[in-house]
Amino acid sequence: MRLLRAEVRRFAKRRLIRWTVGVFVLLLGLVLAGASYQSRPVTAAALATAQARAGTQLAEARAAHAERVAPCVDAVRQGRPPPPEFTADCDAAAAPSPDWYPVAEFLPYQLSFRDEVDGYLLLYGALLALVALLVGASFIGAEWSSGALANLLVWRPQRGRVLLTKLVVAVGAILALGTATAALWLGGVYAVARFDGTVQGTTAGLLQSAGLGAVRAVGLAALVGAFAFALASIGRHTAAAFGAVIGLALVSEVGMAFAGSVLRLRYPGAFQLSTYGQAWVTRSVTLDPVVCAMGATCRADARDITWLHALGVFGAGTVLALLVAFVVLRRRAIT
Amino acid sequence: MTAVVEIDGLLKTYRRRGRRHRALAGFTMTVEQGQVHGFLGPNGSGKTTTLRALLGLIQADGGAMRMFGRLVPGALPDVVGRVGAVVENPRFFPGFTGRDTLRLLADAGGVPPGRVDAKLELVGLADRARDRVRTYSLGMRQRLAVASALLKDPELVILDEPANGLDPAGIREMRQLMRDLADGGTTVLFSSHLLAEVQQVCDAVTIIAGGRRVAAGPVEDVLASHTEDAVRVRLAAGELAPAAQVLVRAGATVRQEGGHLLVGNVQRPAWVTYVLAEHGLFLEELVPAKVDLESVFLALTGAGPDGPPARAAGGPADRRAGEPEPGSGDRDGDAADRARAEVDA
Ligand SMILES: Nc1ncnc2c1ncn2[C@@H]1O[C@H](COP(=O)(O)OP(=O)(O)O)[C@@H](O)[C@H]1O
Ligand SMILES: [Mg+2]
Repeated sequence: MRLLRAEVRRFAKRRLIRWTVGVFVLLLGLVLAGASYQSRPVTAAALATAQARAGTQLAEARAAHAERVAPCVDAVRQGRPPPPEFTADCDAAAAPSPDWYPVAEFLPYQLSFRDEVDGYLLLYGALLALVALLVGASFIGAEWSSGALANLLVWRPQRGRVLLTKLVVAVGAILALGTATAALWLGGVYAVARFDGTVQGTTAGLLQSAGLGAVRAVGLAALVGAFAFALASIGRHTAAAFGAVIGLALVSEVGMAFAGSVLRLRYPGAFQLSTYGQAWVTRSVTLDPVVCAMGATCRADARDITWLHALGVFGAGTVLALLVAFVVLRRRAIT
Repeated sequence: MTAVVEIDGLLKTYRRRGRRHRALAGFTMTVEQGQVHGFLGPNGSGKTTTLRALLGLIQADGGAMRMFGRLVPGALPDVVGRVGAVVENPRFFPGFTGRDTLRLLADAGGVPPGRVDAKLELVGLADRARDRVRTYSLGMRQRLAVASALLKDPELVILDEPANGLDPAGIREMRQLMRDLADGGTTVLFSSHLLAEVQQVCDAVTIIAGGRRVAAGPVEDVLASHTEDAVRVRLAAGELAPAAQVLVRAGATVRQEGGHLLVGNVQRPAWVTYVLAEHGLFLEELVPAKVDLESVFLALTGAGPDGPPARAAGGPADRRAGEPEPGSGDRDGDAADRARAEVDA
């Protein structure tokens, strides 16, 4: 308990962590402020103006079209064949129609909660994962590289316990930060939509799904934080975690794409972490066999990668990294 | 007397660039309660390795260690509350202030936070306590480390080269601090490669060289058992060389030192007077050669900043010290010279 309290205080005192969290919250606020600034609710007056402008443009386009096809129309009316640059029906197909000028395009931008909440969650999830990477790695990494951890281990010669406490604090902090900011974020997006845009079509089901999306984003951040923590502890340096993550991304995206084509894998996407990241956010990704893309006969054997698969992959990777980190620490000579 | 620290037959071999390097070859040490115990040895002799093993930072390859009678590292979590320790150059998180550093340690160890300021005061760091450790000099970090070791009000304080980086006044304060601690009943075990700082403050010493104990016991006993039967003889300048010849022929060992002869293997000083007088040589001064811990140390460890190893009288002097670390030997030698000069001054 005492160790836990000390680690919580240590965590809160770290300047890099404070800055990271500060910048993160600031960034979220800026995005919301920008959305609020850009979005305009559609008033009756705005709708009328937009309808009028759409009508005007349609009329102008029709007039221009009529003028252009006039020689053809005249010729046909007089029983002559249409000039060669026109079709038999005098380019009737090219006549402007109202759906070329949808009223929506003449309206100012309006944030629609229903249509855009997923995109906002994706942005939030990516930022939070980045914060988790930085926080998880630097909390333990800087302790190793500065030698402060060796000091603490002289003070408390229980390696597993010390590392576990730090892990709990780092992951707990990410969860706390995520829970607080995710709620604020969804509330903020909703508020912007409510006052500067539209919440039309926001059903209970949609809200629930958005909430679950936020939970998944926070959960992923916790996994990323724990993974980065493990890597930084194994490598005894914050940078070790960043290096390993970048290396992993390269192998997964570039390396597997290449290996997939060499080995003629049916579903190379199934070996790429980005697929699982996408599945995690969007709940499911459908992979078509490679042969489909090449135009061969395609049977209906597409494969689905769901967020549960993603949980399996990310969870297993994190657990493995943590196991290695603890085993390595147990045997490590601290010099 | 009860032993607070008992180390028996400690073995440690490092693997370095694929080669094996034996750092401890059956090292043995006993620290009695209430002592200031000096753990002496040249650079690379295995002091830090011993302390690391004792505190569970590295795993020994063999041997047994006890603290307060309990086997460590197994019982370390149980006894660590009674031990305050600093190993090697103290390294702290550079972004925290000295005060925060200690407060976090106090938190983790269940020490009342009020003690932090008292210990900072004790080591003379009070007015820099609110600055970041990044801005501290080596000496100040050393003081912070000592403060952290004292935070628990431990029964046993272990300090690895606590005088490193301290100025002469700081070294004197450190000596006084260790003396005060021992007078208050705390056992102090500290390592050093500087002898002058040790002789005045230690109750007992263990001397290590090449990973083995080469001498141990109360300072007077170690001195006594290694006292050379030597005298310092002064003669007129022109008579030094013939006198040396005479004495060597008579079976003594002779070394010329400035205007003196250092004559060894002498049972009674009167014998020197007699032999020289027989050859018409009359001495102007004869004093017993003073033996200090430093010469014993140099003789025993066969390593020193002052040149080739001196011959020991009766000690196991044929043993070479562990190879000095490349590049560090000169620097450490200089540091040793300087510190000794400072202390002597
Ligand atoms: N981590 C290590 N890896 C390899 N060799 C080491 C390591 N630490 C110390 N040594 C070697 O072990 C010997 C003893 O070192 P050390 O205990 O630090 O000496 P001291 O503290 O007495 O100066 C030296 O030769 C040193 O080079
Ligand atoms: Mg050392």
